[in-house]
Amino acid sequence: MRRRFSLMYFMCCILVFSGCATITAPVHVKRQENDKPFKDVVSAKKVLIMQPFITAVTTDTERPVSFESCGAISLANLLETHARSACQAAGSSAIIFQRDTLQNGGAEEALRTLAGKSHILMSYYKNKSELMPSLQTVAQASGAEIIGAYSIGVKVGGRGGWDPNTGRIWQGTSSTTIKAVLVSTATGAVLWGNEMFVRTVASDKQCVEAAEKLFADIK
Amino acid sequence: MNKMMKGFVVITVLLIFGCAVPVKNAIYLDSAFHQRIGDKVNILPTIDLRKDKSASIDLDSAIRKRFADGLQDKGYTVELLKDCGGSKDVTTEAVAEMLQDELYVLGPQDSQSVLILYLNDASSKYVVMGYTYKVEVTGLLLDKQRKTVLWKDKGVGSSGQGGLISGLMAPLVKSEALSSSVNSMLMSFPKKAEVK
Repeated sequence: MRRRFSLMYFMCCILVFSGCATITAPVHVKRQENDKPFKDVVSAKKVLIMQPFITAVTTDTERPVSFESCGAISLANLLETHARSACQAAGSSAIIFQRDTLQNGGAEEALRTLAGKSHILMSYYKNKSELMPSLQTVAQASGAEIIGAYSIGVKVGGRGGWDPNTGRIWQGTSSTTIKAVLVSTATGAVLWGNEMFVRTVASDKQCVEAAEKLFADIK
Repeated sequence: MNKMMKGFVVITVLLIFGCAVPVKNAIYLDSAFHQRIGDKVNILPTIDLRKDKSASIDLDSAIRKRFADGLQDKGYTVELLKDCGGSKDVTTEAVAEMLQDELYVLGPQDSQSVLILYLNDASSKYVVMGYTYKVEVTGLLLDKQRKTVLWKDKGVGSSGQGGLISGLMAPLVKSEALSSSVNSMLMSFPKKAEVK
């Protein structure tokens, strides 16, 4: 009797103070107010897909972290595959990759300039007039009417957890932001954009799922 | 004899190390910090950089005023600015998109230093019988005249409680996460140097 009472008391303590936490990391989206869905923008257009812009740092000190170890490289490869598939499915007339253009030597310098000013290229709001010469050079050299750019930003922090003795629970402090934009080489305008924010590192399953949704039609 | 030796070691350790006050190094601290900070630290309205804005948070009282109080405790005179200032009307949304080079126009034109606090992320979660809150903030102190950064640091606070009691403790959990993130940044902000 006394033993049973002790057990019940223990269970009650667990329920009241410790719970049984399970922590999940939902995906949050901040997107450009797209006039048209992705497929309508790239349909019958020649698209140049740039190489990814990747940043990976520790959350609390902003020290650089290896792209490989946090999963950014594999996520970038995955995003390139999804970008290509999305363009093909939407009926893009041709898909050109930056590395092929570089091999042809066509717009190497212009693409480097665009990469150096990726914060302007990827921005929904910033004026892109200073990028226009580079965009036009890329258009002339490759025939691309649209530039597809995407970025991966990873912050590597501590993991979430639960201490069953004290009932203390805490969230992990890692996060990954993936963003893609389609920019007109004629006007510099962002024709389409989408962004996903996941509170895990890039190697996590949820980031892979987010990457799949990034180019999907969103209503 | 052996016991005496142990006692001696314990006392020596206590005397030498004591209860050390935690010290944190800033991400960046300029060597001329004390010469360049000026008489007053002007603090801009907190810039919200969050992608997910579902967690409710009062940017002013939760972050800016807490930090300002901490700076006053360290001996600084602070001024909480009503807007971002500059030559044009700059919104906090515009500041959120600015690169570091573009930030020096912010704040009163004649001021020496301007402090910008960013809220990078705030996340509240009710999980199965549990509540957690996480905050990530960044502070950036700019020398407007020299156009350089004087101090930069980040604070990350994550707190939570499980069990049926977690609902009742939610406000405390949120406050603890906010305090620990702001205090973490304050730990690396140097005390005001005494003028001799």
